[in-house]
Amino acid sequence: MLGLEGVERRFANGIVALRDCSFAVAGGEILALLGPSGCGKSTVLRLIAGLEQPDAGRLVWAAGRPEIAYVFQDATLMPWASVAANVALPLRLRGVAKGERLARAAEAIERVGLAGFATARPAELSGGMRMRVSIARAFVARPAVLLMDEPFAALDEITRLKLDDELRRHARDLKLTVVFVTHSVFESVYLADRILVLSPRPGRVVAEHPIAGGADRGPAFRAAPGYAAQCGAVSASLARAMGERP
Amino acid sequence: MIARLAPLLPVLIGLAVLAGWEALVAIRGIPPYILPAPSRVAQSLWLDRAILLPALLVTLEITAAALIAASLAGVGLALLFVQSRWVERSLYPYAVVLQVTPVVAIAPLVLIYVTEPFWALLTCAAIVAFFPVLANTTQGLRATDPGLLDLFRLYGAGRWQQVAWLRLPSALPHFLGGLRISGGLALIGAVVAEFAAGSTAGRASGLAYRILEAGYRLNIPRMFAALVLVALAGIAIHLALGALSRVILGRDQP
Ligand SMILES: Nc1ncnc2c1ncn2[C@@H]1O[C@H](COP(=O)(O)OP(=O)(O)OP(=O)(O)O)[C@@H](O)[C@H]1O
Ligand SMILES: [Mg+2]
Repeated sequence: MLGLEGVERRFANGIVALRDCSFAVAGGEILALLGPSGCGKSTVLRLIAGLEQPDAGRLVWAAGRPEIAYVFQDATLMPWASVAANVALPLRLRGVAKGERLARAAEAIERVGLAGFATARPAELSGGMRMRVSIARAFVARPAVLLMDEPFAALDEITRLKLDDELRRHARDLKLTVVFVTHSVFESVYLADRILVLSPRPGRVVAEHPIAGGADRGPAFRAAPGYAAQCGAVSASLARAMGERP
Repeated sequence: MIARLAPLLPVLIGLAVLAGWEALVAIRGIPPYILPAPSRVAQSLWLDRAILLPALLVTLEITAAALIAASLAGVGLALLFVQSRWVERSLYPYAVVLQVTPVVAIAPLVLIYVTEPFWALLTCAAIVAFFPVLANTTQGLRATDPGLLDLFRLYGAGRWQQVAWLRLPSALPHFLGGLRISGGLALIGAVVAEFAAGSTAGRASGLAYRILEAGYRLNIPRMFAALVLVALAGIAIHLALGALSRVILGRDQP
């Protein structure tokens, strides 16, 4: 669906975040990017989103640029606006008529389990609920590609596991292609169909781990011996990427 | 118990001072043209109401108009500043110059070029009042969540949408904070400019003019009465703007 070919990104201050970064994203897969802090993971997502342009190399979309949604580490909501208004924002910016806007926002809010909170302000919600609002907002424009930058890093473990489960379900229901960044080896193995390990800055792909385990995951998947083994393998290749002996 | 009495403390202190003042004047037999007793000032407030109330209205009118003008100018300039760092770099020093130049020094010049007294006083008061709005609003516009700015870009928002739906609402609490400071400054500007105008440069007949006039006539109680009105106007403006920001921002925000 998408290919990055020899992408380089150099900032005005001389920092080279990415160099010769190449990988492909298949339609419908959940791809995790794992790497040391500052290696350019967020930059990869921003390039895919079109918020930045590569300084060398290129991004190739197989069938033109699809609808893309982006979920940030923080919920990134407008504090003055209701949940419904926040979720409907992408449609409002696209000029969708109010009636349709609100109907589709309500649908997205329902999907993330926040029905009944449409008129609440972000300040009245818990951190996990705010993140759900952010996810509903990502779904509302019916994206084909969902980019997530450490989306649940700020949440407690229990909420994070729950949102991980829901995310896999939504991704399958909505036939989404997901590229997400995480610091957690465990989360990446649990969520992803495939994991790419990036080198320290300038970042490029140094290892790839397809995750065996099928589409259906849950507590059983985490308890299976294969899960621990795969976590171990990914940890080892992350350590190698950072130049340590495993 | 004590906490519940706390808001009453300023009132109690005020009453004590007034009572002491009243007693001092009565016991020493101080004549009203030296120091009028509070009761004499109150009497003057009532007896001179036909003069003082219209003057209060004029001063409030100038203050309100100046505050609106300062808000429009401050927000407008702040919007210009965030569109371009160059505009900010070129103009900000002049905004600071306007801010640090005492209004008594500017007023005589303004009075030469703006002949209509109302507009001259409005200009002076607006010059005094506009800086906090400008500085706060600029800061607020700049403090817009970068994630939300990215989101707006991702969905192809135009510049106008970004300003109207994101930057301005983000800056609103900052703007209201600036407005509360500017409210007091606008009143000070209106009064000081009228003093600077004196009786020579036409009469807008605000409270400051009445204080000057009463001074020339040695009508000290009326001077005090006008001063009381200036103070009350200041308190009222402060409370009104505080209430306005609470209404706009909702009760949770400070
Ligand atoms: N706009 C920018 N200007 C200058 N340097 C930048 C900019 N954005 C990112 N960088 C630098 O580029 C490098 C990669 O940044 P990026 O945010 O992509 O890293 P990351 O892998 O997401 O890090 P983290 O895991 O800490 O989120 C960092 O060293 C960062 O300081
Ligand atoms: Mg990052």
